[in-house]
Order: sequence, then structure tokens, then C-alpha cells
Amino acid sequence: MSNASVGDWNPNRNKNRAITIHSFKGGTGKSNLSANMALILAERGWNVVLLDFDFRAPSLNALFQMNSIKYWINDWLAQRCELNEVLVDLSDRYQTMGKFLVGFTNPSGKAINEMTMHSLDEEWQARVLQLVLDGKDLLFEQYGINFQIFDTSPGFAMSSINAILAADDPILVIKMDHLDIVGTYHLIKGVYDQTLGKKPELVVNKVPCSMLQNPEDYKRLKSELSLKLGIEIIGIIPCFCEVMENMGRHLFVKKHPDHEFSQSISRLAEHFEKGN
Amino acid sequence: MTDASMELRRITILERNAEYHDAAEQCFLVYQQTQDSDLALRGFRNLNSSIWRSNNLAEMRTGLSDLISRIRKAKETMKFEKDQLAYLEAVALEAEGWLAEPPDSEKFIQATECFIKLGELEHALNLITSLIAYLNPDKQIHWAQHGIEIATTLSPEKKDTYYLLLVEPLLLYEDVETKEALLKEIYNRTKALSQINNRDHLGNIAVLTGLDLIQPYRIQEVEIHSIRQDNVHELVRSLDKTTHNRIQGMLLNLLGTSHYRMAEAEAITDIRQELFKKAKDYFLQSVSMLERTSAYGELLRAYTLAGEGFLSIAELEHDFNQRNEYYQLGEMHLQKSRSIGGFTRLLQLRARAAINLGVALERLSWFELSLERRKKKLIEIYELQIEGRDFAQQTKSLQEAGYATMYASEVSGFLSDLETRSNQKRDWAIKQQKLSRTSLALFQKTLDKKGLVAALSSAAFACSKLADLTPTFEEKKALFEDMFLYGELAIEGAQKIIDPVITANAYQQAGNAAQRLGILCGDGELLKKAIELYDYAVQAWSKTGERNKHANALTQLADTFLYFSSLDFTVKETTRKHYLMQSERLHQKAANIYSNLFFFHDEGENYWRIGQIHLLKEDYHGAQEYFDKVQKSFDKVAELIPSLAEIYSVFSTFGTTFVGLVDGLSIIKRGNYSHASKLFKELASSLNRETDRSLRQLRQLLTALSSIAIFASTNDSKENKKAKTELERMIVKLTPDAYDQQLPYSLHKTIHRLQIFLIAPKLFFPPLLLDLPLKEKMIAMTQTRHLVRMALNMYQATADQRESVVKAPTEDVIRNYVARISSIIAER
Ligand SMILES: Nc1ncnc2c1ncn2[C@@H]1O[C@H](COP(=O)(O)OP(=O)(O)O)[C@@H](O)[C@H]1O
Ligand SMILES: [Mg+2]
Repeated sequence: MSNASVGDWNPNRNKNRAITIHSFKGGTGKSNLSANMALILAERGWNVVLLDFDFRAPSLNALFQMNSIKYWINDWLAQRCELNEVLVDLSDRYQTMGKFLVGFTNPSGKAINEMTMHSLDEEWQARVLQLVLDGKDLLFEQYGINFQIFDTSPGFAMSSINAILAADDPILVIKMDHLDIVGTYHLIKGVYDQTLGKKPELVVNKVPCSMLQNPEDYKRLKSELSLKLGIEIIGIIPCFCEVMENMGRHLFVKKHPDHEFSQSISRLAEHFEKGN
Repeated sequence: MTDASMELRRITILERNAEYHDAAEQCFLVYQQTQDSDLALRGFRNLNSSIWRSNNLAEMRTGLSDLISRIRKAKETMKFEKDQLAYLEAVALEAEGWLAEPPDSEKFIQATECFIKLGELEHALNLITSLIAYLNPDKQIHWAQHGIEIATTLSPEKKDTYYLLLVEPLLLYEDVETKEALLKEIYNRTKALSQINNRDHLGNIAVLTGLDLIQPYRIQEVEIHSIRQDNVHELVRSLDKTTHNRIQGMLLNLLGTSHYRMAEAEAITDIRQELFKKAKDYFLQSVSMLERTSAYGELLRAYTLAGEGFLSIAELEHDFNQRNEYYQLGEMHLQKSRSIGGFTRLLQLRARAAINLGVALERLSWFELSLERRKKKLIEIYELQIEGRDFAQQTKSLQEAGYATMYASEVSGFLSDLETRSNQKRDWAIKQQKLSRTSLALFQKTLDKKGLVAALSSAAFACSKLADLTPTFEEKKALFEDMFLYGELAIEGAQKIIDPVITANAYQQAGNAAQRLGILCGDGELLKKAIELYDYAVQAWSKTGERNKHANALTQLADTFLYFSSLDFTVKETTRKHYLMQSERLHQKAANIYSNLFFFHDEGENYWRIGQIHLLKEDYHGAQEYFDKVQKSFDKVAELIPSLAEIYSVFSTFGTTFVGLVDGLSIIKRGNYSHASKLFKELASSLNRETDRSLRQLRQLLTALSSIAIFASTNDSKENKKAKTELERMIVKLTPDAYDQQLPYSLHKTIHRLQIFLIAPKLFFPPLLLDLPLKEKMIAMTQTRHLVRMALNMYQATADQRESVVKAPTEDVIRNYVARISSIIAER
């Protein structure tokens, strides 16, 4: 696995979307979702960049079981290196058709501490936003990337706000939990609507199978939630014990491409493929 | 009888029955028929009286606004004489004055002058008694004198009541001399009058007032008991509700104050506490009376006294939770004083409220686990004391200024403790020293002996804080000598007063001074003195509710035994053993108290000291046992304060490992290298899974020691010798700083740049100096203890910092941020 040499790629298809995966609560499945969806998109021939923007609880590093990282996203943001030096090319490892590049965040206590020191520092955050926006242009325009996916920190975190500001498709993930629904409602109203002026789309994850026994149930859940939260629901993913059992060892969609979970993620990927 | 005269009779009966509201309405009704303006005026008088009958402040306020609007309307619709009109206007003015918040003294003055002009003397006098609380001191006295003059013109039965009513505002008057002169006058007049009027209870109250205020420290129990509450009831029965409540409140304040004074003069702790509680109950009753009036001056006094009462009770309370609750109640009442204080010009009371609120908050601040928050609180408290001092200085009240300055000094000391940057640390300590000297000078000018003793102890405390931060031997010594002097003076003063807490503190500070000076100069006599003083301190603290201070005195006493045993080289080995045993026993006692109080760090520290005693006796098994206890205590701290879990687990691992290390080194001394090597290896492997950096360093060190010791045990004489030299070199290197007298301060400078974990090994090493004379070892041990405390403070400060930055931004913060970066977005 070498650092990406992204210089000479041709954009194979005409599509550039930046997607953020965000939620009100932690543990809604953001990291799991972003990683698996990124992989599926790359397998289908899109050039994908996945970035770990959860500086409080970085988890992609563990999810992809990386053991040596030369530069972290932390280094890029602190301007100790360039963006392309951060991206690790995993296309060979996963045998994807498109390029599959991932940027990791340093999960060490020291690094987390350093990042949280900046968490309310507006100047630092504004610089990060500049870097992210510059990076976005660079990846789309010069390196032919089609999808940039940001896995973010839950709730009110400045780093997540930056990613959302840069996003074309801001996505919120919720689980079927009353507190999460209420919190998400306020997050949409208070932050997305009033402050950021963005309309997110919703993925409902970890839905208990008992709530999804026939096709009608999907419809009902969809209309009920979109009515409550005032946004569109683009995916409903059931809760699978197999997913929990397997996490941390490999990417689920790679190992079990035919599992219902993988199919749900595929459908989600299609949503973004179809979008403009 | 005509209709009109019938009506008039009805009005008179209503008035006699004090049904003023109905009487007023009746007057107005008859006025409609007769157009007699006297009757209308009588209606307004009755209306006014009816308002003050009320027992409820809100109801009174509605009554007042109603009165104003009815007077306004009447001025248009009814016909009045000139004087009558002037009277009505004055009544309306007074009502407006009461409705303003704070009450409007200008309006009161205008109204009063008008009443006097119209010959409405009683009304004027009544208003004067309220007016005074809202005036500047120079005007206060003018009106008080005026009031006395007016009172003299009234009939004898009314005179004594009004004299007494004037006492109330005078109690609040700031200038002590004038106040006392006036009170004396009132006292004499009332006493004489009450004999003529045959009203003993008034005489008694006068006695009480006079004694209480003119000779505040000499009040006799007999006098206090001569005034019973029935007397008060009898006095107020004839008055309207508002005046009733006011007088009742004032007398309850007086009663409470007398009990408070009696408590202060009581030597038996239980009785003292009983009396404080009684006083507090009187103050609370007074609060509930005065809450129904707008007598803010007296209410302020009642709340302040109640708050002070709770604080005094708390200091003597043994039950931990109960005590805490009393402090909270104290805080609550003093907060209330502070908010009411703004309504008045009573600066001395406002000073007291601020000062004592500061004290309550300071006591409560010890329960704050986050150092960052504690620091913020202490700064707030410091500012309260400065506010109190400024108020006190404006009224030239030396005593209050003295207390405020003294508490500000102490809080500066605590802030110096908490501060992590060495410059700021020293700045606070210097400030503490300056303030303590100022407060001492202030108390020397007063008759307050208790304050003086407290200030002396506090000055001693300031010296020790500054000495800790002073690098050179000479300066340190000079400071400790000053400290000792202050301590001795404090003890001398304490003989003349009765106050368990202040007395205990005097002994404590004197003991501290003797101990520190003794250690610094290696003077066994001083240490002997320290033992004696600490012994007294221990006894004195046990009489107060301050159990942690009791435990602290025990700890200090135990330590001093240890120092003494090691300093005095003439003592026999058996005597030394005896001292060590004594020390262990006392540490154990302290540990038990701390454990009950949930002060697990201190519990652990006492066990740690016992462990060290066992090390001194070269009893490694015993030491290990106590280090296990240390570990358990530290685990409990970690449970209580999660942010400290990491450091405490590192500390306790260190503790247990280093006992083994010392054991190993002693084995090397005995020449058994292979045994030592094996021990080191075992210790190293017990640290295999540790991730902490300093523990890993310790593991490396042990591994190195182990392999060198193996070489030292070989037969090859060349290798063998080299290894032995290397071992010696390593041991010396392990402990380079411990010897240094200046260590605490020099370390200060660097400590905040260092990771605590890098320092931790050094913290535990001083006792490793196996070949040092005992005295040096002991000194090293004290240093260690300081360092552990300091390091912990450092660590917790950074842990708090970490905690505080992890906080998420609020919606507002995000909004500001987005506004700020909108140009970045717009550019694209
Ligand atoms: N649909 C699902 N069914 C079952 N488990 C899931 C599902 N989605 C996520 N999980 C599990 O939930 C846990 C939290 O997921 P993660 O992606 O780390 O959440 P986040 O990044 O939002 O904190 C993981 O153990 C993951 O395996
Ligand atoms: Mg995550």
C-alpha cells in the first residue's frame, strides 16, 4: 500500500459529490456506513476518497486495520504535509475497479488531545475549512475523484460543521431511539436549517427487524419519520447481529456481498450514483 | 339622631375595631352626601392605616398604588382646604417612596418635612424610623436626632415606644461613637420613662439594647433572660401590623444577637453550639417577620445575622453532611443579604454580608473536585472579600475591614496553591503576605482580640506559603522565624479568648512554624516544641467540627515524631523505635478519620508514610503491606474523580514497585547480587503490560539493574568490578535532585513543562537514598510529599483543561463561526 499518486488519473465519469455522514448521537453506525458505502462505490468503478473527520473518536484506522501510517489527517490540517501524502491507496487491497483512497486520523490520546484543544478555536477551524475546500477542488478537478465521503463526529463539533459546510450531500444517520430522534430534530432545526442553510437527507440505521416485517412497514416508517423531521429518508437499514459480530475484522460488504445489509448499502450507493 | 350622626358613630366604631378599610369606605360614602372635606380626609387616613395592617408585602403594595390613584382622583373630584391638600400630597409622596425599589429616600424626606409642618408629628416620626436606612451616614444622624426631639414632645405612653422604635434605625447607623452616644441617651430616657409608665418590659428592652450595644462584649446572661418573648408581644399588641412586624423583627434580632454573644463567650462546646442554634432560630423568626414589611435595613440585618449564625454552627458541627448543609444555608441567607443590601445604604452590613458569603463559599469550595472550577470560585471569593473591604473602609469600620483583608489573604494563599505557573504562584503568595500584614495592622487598632488572634495565625500561614516558594536558605529561615513569632503571639492571644476554631488554628500555625524551622535548621529542640504544640492543636481541633483539620494535625504530629527521632542522634535505638511506633499509630488514626470523610488521597498519603516508616526499619514485608493499602486508597480516589484515575493508578503501581526496588538495592548492599538480579527481573516483568511512559522507563531501569547485577555476581573479577561501579553510578543517578534544598522551587519552574509521568519516578526515589544519614532521608521525604501534592495539582489542572475543551460548541458559537467564515464560502 503506497501513498496515492493521484496525478495522472482521468475522470472516468462525470460526477463529483462530497458526502458527509453525520448524526446527533454517537454509535449510530456512521463509520460503518461510510466505510462500506465507500468500498461499494469504488467497487463499482467510481474513484472514491474516504476521510476520517471524527477527531474525538477516530475509528477508520481500526476498521481498516492499518498498521503503519506515514501521515495522518492531523498532519495535513496542521500543515505538516499535503493532502495527497495522507491518502492511502487501498484499491489493490480490495481489488476495486475505481480508485479507493482513505485518509486516516490518529487515534492516539495525544493526537485526540491536540485536536480537542483546537475544537473551539475559530481561527484554526476557519483554516481547516479552507484546507478542506481547497482539497475538495483539488481532488475533483485534478485527480478525478467522484465521491468524497467524510465520516464525522456526532453532535455539535466544529470539525463536523466544517465537513457539512463543504458537503454537497449532507447525510444524517439516526437509530430508532427516541432521544436520538428528538436530538436530530433540534440539530436539523437549530444547525442545518437556521445556521448552515443545508437540507440533509436521512438514513435510518439499526432498525429492529421486528419493526420491519413486511414492505408496508418500510413505507410507514419512512413517511412517519419524514413527517416528523421534515427531511427526506433515503435509506432504511435493519439491525443485523452479523454486522456487529463482524466489525473490526473486515469490511462487511467485502466478506458478505450478498447479505441483506450489503444490499441495503448498495441501494444507498445507487441513490448517490443517480443523484446529480 | 340624624342619619349623618348615625353614620359618624358607625365610622368611629369601625375605627375603634381597627377595621380601617371599611371605615374609609364609610367616610367616602358619607362625604358623597355631606361634601365635608374633613370626612374625606378621615377616609384617606383610614385607608392609609388599613394598608399597614396588612401582613403581606404584595398586598401592601397593591394597597399603596390604590391609595395613590384614589388621592389623585380625589384631588380632581373633591374640594379640600390648602392644608388638607398638602397632607394628602405628602401621604401620596410617602406611598410613592415605598413603591420605588429601592425605597425613595428623597420622597420620604419631602413627605416627612411636610408632616412636621402640618403638625402630623407621629406620622412624621413613624416615617423617620424607616427613613434612616436609606440615607447617607451624615443625614442619618441628623434625622435620628430630629426623631428624638419629636419623640420628646409626645405623650409619655407614646414616648417610650417611639424611643424604642428609634433604636432600630440607630442599630444600623454606621458611626460607632455617635451611635453609642445616641443609644445611651435613648436608653436612659426609656428606662426613666418606663418606670413612670410602669412598663417594666420596655425598661428591660432598653437595658438589653443599651448593654448589647454599648458594651457588646460584656452582656450578662441575667439581663438577657429578663427579656422574654411575652414582653415583646405585650409591647407590640397595640401597634399596626407593619410596625408590629418591624419591632418584632428588631427585637428578635436583638434577642438572637444576645444569644450569639453568649455563645461566643461560652467555653463548653456543646453549650456553645446550643446557643448558636438558639440565636440562629431567633434570626430566622426575625427574617420571617421582616419579610412581610419593607424594612429592608432590618431585614438585611436579620439575613446577615442568620447567615453568620449558620456559619458558626457549621464550624462546630461534627457530622460531615450536616455541616455541609449548614454552610449551604449560610450561603443562601447571605446571598439574600447581598441582594437586599443593594436597596440600602448600610455599608457596614453590606460589608459583613459580602465577607461572610465569601467565607461560606470558601468552605463549600473544598467540595469542588475540578481544580479549574475551584480556582474560578476562589477568585470570586477573593473579589467578594475585596468588595467587603471597600464597603468597610467607606464606613471606617476597622474590624470588618480587618476580617475582609484577612480572608482575602487566606484565599490568595489557596489560589497560590492552585496556580500552576510559577510566577503567578509567587505573586499570589506575595499578595497573601501583604494582605495578612494589613489585616494585622487593622486588628491592632481595634478591640477585637479574636480578630487579632485569627489575623496572627493567618499571617503565620502567609509566611509558610511564601517560604515554600522562596529558594534561598536564609530567606526561608527568616520567613519561618517570622512565622514562629506570629504563631507564639497568636497562642498568647488565644488564652484570652474563647473560640475553639481560632484557638486550634493558633496552635496549628505555631506548630507548623516550629516544625518547618526545626527541619530547616536541624534543630531538635524546635521539633520537640512542635510536638508539644501539635499535641495541643490535636486536642483543640477535636473540639471543633473540623475533622479534616484534626486529622491533618495528627498527620503533622506523626511526621514530627519521625523527624525528631531522626534528628536527635543522641536518642537510644529503643527510644527511636518508640518514636517510630508513635508516628505509625498517629498516621493510622489520621488515615481512619480521612477515610470516614472520604478524603482518600490523604488516607493514602498516611498509609504511604507508614510504608516509609517500615522501609526505614528495613521491614520490606510490612512496607509492602502498607503500599497495598495506598493502592486501595488511590483506587478509591480514582473512582471518585475519574479524570485522575490514570495518574493514581500510575502512582500506586510506582509505590508497590519501588518498595521492591528498595528491597533489591538493600540486598545489593548486602552483596547478594544474584538474588537482587532475580528480584529486579520479576519486578520488571510485572510492569510488562504497562503503557504509561514513566512506568515503562521504570521497567527499563529494572531490566538494566537486573542484568548488571548478574554481571556483578559473576566470577570474572574485571567484569564484576565494572558492573559494581556501574550499579553505584546508576543508584546515584537515580536521585540527583532529592538532596537539593531548593528542589521544590526549582522544580516548580520546570514542572509545568514536564509530563507528570516523567517526574513521577523521582517523586518516589528520595527514600532510595539508602546511604544517606537518616536526617537527610527525612528531609528528602518531606520534599517528596510536597512534590506529590504539587504534581497532582499540575496534573489535575491539565486534566480539567482537557475536560473543558472537549465541551461542544453551542448553537450560538456555531452561528458566530458560520458568520465569520461566510466570506470563505462566498468566494467559491
Ligand atoms: N445496521 C447495523 N446492524 C447492526 N449493527 C450495526 C449496524 N450499523 C452499525 N452497527 C454497529 O454499531 C456500532 C457503532 O457503529 P459505528 O459505525 O462505530 O458508529 P459511529 O461511527 O456512528 O459512532 C458498531 O459496533 C457497528 O458494528
Ligand atoms: Mg465513528
